[in-house]
Amino acid sequence: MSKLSFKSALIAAVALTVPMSASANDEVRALTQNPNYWAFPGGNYSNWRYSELKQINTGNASKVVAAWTFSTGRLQGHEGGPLVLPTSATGLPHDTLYIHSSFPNDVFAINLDTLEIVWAFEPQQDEAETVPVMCCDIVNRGLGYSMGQIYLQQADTKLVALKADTGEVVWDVFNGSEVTGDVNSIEGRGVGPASGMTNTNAPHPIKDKVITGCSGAEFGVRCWLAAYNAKDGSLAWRAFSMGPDEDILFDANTTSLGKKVGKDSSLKTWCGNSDWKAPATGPNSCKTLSDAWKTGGGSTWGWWPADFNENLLYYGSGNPSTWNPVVRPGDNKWSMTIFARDIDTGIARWVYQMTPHDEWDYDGINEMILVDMNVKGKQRKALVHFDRNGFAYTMDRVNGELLVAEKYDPAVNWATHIDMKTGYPQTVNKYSTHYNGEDVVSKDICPAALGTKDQQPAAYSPRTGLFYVPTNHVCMTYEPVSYAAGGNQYTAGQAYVNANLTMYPAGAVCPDCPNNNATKDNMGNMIAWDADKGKIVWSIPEQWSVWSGVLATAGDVVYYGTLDAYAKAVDAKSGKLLWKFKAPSGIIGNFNTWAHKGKQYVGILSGIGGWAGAVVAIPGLAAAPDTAALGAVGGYRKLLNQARNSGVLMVFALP
Amino acid sequence: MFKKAGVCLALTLFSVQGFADGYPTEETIRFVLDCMVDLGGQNDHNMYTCVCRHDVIEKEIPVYDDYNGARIYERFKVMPGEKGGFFRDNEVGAELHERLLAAREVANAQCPMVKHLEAKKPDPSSEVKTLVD
Repeated sequence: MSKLSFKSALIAAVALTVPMSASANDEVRALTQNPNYWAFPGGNYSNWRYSELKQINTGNASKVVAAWTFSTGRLQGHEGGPLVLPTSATGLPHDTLYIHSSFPNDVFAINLDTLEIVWAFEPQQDEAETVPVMCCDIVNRGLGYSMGQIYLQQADTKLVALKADTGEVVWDVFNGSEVTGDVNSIEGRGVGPASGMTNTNAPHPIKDKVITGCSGAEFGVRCWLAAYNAKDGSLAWRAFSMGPDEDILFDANTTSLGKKVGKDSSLKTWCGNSDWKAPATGPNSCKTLSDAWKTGGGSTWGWWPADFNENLLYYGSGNPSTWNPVVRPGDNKWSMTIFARDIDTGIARWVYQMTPHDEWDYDGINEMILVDMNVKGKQRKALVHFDRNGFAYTMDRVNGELLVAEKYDPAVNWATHIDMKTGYPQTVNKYSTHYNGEDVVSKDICPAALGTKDQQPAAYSPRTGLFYVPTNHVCMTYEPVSYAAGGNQYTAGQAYVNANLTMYPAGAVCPDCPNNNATKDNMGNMIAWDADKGKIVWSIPEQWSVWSGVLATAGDVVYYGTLDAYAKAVDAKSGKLLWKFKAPSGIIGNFNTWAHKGKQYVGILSGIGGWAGAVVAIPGLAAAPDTAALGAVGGYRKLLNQARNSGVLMVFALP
Repeated sequence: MFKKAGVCLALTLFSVQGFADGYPTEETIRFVLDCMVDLGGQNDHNMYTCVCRHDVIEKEIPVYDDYNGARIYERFKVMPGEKGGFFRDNEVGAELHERLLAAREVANAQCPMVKHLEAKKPDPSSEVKTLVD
């Protein structure tokens, strides 16, 4: 252990300067500062995705080889990454790795001493009801841990707490239907897969709560963030993205860019008339109001940090529903918004809407990263966010002041800049799908709907002060479809998209962009970003986009993965390629690292579907008897039979 | 006989190219193993066919990144949702895939399945019968 001892002085100094009174997950906070483990999805509660481990460093990263692999037995997209926990957390007499799969969201506990499966949890979900209403693949972003419990947020909206040592269910709750309070606030329809609501996010244990979100903006669901009590699964609070103040948990002190938002700040921005003119380039009042907010979207499926000194948690909301902007005039608040909410009550302290009246599907759900840093000469408790809309925002996380908003892909063209006083983007009419109108194809909009970056989280290294951001370099055509031309009216549980689009490399629109490759057809870049200056420090063109979560380490190695199945390590300072490995499938998972018995490991899920051929079949494994020496539990036999062409956890180490 | 000689000659020529700018070992092995499974299983005669096809494709598409791009497009364009659209809409990928399909046709023409004859083993049951008789 000596080489990999506890080295968290820096993190502790930055993130936890004031000791908190003992709360339910002080334990988790301590674990997130021990680099031998990985206890919270974002690595630490500031979402750095940074590790103090440095056994693998720039001098030897090229020698890293595959150490072990684990097939989940499930197909299609595998996002998120494993948790790694010690005996003190799990009660098991060994370090344990917990990993999840895509739908139906199996969970496996793996003994890191023996690489045997300790237990497997295989939820029974209604596939026919759930999978067809998952808009964008059947992904799950992983697990959470606190209080001796592993949390799984199933696709069918059931949130489950499992005993970390046995996998037994402690409690479960349907996030999609267990609504307390005013049932009318969800229009009596109920929610859940039957009305198009699903879950893909990882549950985030924060203090004595488990925070979870909501997906379904493509199905007209009015989404929320919810906090359940970790002890028994009862609902602590639920904050909708749009609607009356009592639904969105705003009070008289809630601000946006330093100004109190006042009463009905959301309801006032869903207009009932056609006098409201897009694009939204500044505050622009509705003449009459509509109730389109009831199907308003604003989903929440990202990665959420917490600042325990301020007692705030941070997250972003997704696109307003439907994708055809013409039928929902107004700013559509608070879709596309950064929220700072009190962890205990859910009350919003501040909000900032990045893309008012979205016309492009630039969801605001991407991760928030909390860093205490110098911004324009002043020390700030900052929040850094790389939005789908192509702008990187640096904000004061205490009061919500907008400090920096710059493009992190020069190809971004839908807006020229962000007005730093009003916070509104200065949109360009040519690329405004509302301005151009229904059933008109707007061309060469950058970025494409999936954004300059999607949910795949960036990393921050306190050693370099840089943010390492996985990006897309893609533009699109976008055609909002009118009801007259065949667009769907809202029907619960049915897709409510009403837009057609195509995507292509940004070099076709921006041939002179400095981040194009030689043939101007790269669809991604791995970049290092200076969040004070708002500038790209280095940029690596990638042919097929960088869609993994990034990991930065004290060895000054940055790991990332690409959609075309390469795992790569680069030098954190220069971006120089140190190592690459062709994984069995595309990489959309997040790199994590941990240490076991003195050795540093790096793990990544590989799997996006489109499986490679027969090689994944492991001769002998599938033929193993039911009681093979792999700690088989009920259902594990099935895994063996399916062990070809499934999602794979790849684990790497020095030889 | 003549055909076989042709294949041998081709293999020799291609291997020069292969060493100069070869596909990664992993890709070569993956190709051959997958190909053998497609042809009915792992055995020597299927391996001859598959190695030949691999080398023809490598000659037709000598830049590995082009081959890889074609395979990426082929594998991932069928995925549902936005991520699949990422591939489906990609014109470069579609062009590379056309080249791969053409290369496969050449490979199938130049590398027909090796025919395999197997000497019949004596039927053990009939031997037993003889003894009893």
